[in-house]
Amino acid sequence: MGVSRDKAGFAEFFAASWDPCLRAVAASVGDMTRAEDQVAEAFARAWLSWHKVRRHPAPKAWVVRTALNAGTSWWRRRRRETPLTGDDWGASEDAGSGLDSTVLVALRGLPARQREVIVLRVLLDLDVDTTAGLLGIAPGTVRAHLSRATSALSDELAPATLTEVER
Amino acid sequence: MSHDEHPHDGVLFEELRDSLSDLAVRERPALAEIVDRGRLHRRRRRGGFTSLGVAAVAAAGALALGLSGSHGAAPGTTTSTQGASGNPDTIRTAAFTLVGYADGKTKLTLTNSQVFNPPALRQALAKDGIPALVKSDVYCFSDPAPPDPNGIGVLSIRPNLIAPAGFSPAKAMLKLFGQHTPHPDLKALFNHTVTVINPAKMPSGTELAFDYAPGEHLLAVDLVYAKSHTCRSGQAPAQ
Repeated sequence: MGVSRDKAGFAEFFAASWDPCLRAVAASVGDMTRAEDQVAEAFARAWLSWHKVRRHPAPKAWVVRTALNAGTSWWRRRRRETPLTGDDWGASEDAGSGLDSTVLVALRGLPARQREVIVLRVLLDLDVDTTAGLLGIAPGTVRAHLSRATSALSDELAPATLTEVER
Repeated sequence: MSHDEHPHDGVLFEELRDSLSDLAVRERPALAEIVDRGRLHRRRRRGGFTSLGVAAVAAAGALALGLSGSHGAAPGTTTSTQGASGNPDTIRTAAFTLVGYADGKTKLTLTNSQVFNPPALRQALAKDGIPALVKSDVYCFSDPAPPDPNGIGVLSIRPNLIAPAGFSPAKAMLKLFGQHTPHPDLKALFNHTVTVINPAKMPSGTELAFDYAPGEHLLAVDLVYAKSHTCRSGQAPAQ
């Protein structure tokens, strides 16, 4: 009985979390097809470790973090196998997917750690402590990354959006 | 928003969230696809793969074996040898050699670049008293799964390192990380795998499932419950 309840629990989690996790990862990596593969990989690992993941304080964030790590592995393998030409990371934007919006392009311009903090803290709405726990860094470091990221994003987006709001 | 974030950040965060919610996503994959991918991970984690495809060698530096698939082909030439007293029984085919020892263990050696023949292997294993499912392009599993066969001493898999004449490790390693395909010397080095099977350690009611994936040149070995398992056809999910 426990096993079937576990399976049902995973199925519900998968149905409810696929879209938000995919959007968060796609926003970070800038390529919807690759994001789909990385998120599928992360959900497969979540299924494998569901007895642990279901007790995690933020299972969706676990999936996103795992997907982003899977992307790093993918990139490292690719880098070893084939010489990169130009900026391979995020070079394959899909113009029809919405990933080319000003905001998301600015997000992908951030350093990787700042981008991860934004994805977890803002897009998945985790609190600072949970974000820190997931990334294995101190809460103060999360705040510092967040502050730098928001500053950089504000500078980048000010002409288009934020100045209007401030008036 | 936490107390140490600037109120202005709230506007920015809303902007980010709005952009995210505008992202169009395709329909999510079927749950079964995710579960299959997870099962593949479990099998790889359990270490029951006796061979890896050549393409994987360049990336992972693991063993290279190129078994060729054979779907329902007639068994190749089989030689069975009953040794003198105290000597092992040997079954030799083009694709594998199976040696049964007096202590009940069986050593299975798979040979590179030969036809993989499920019926011949199944018959040979049965002759040694090892219950087994041997299938090509089909993989079998029990859910819940029996214990890891490597962890309980049922299986021990290792490459049979036979260095060819004139083998240069340095040259092979250089080639390994520089190209998609391994240097021929390296392929020759990992020319066989040796799997030692100890049927005495198999839990009651289980049998070994040998699942050969022709597309990937992978042979996975795992335990399944004889009376409670599922076999699925189709391409195994990508790693």
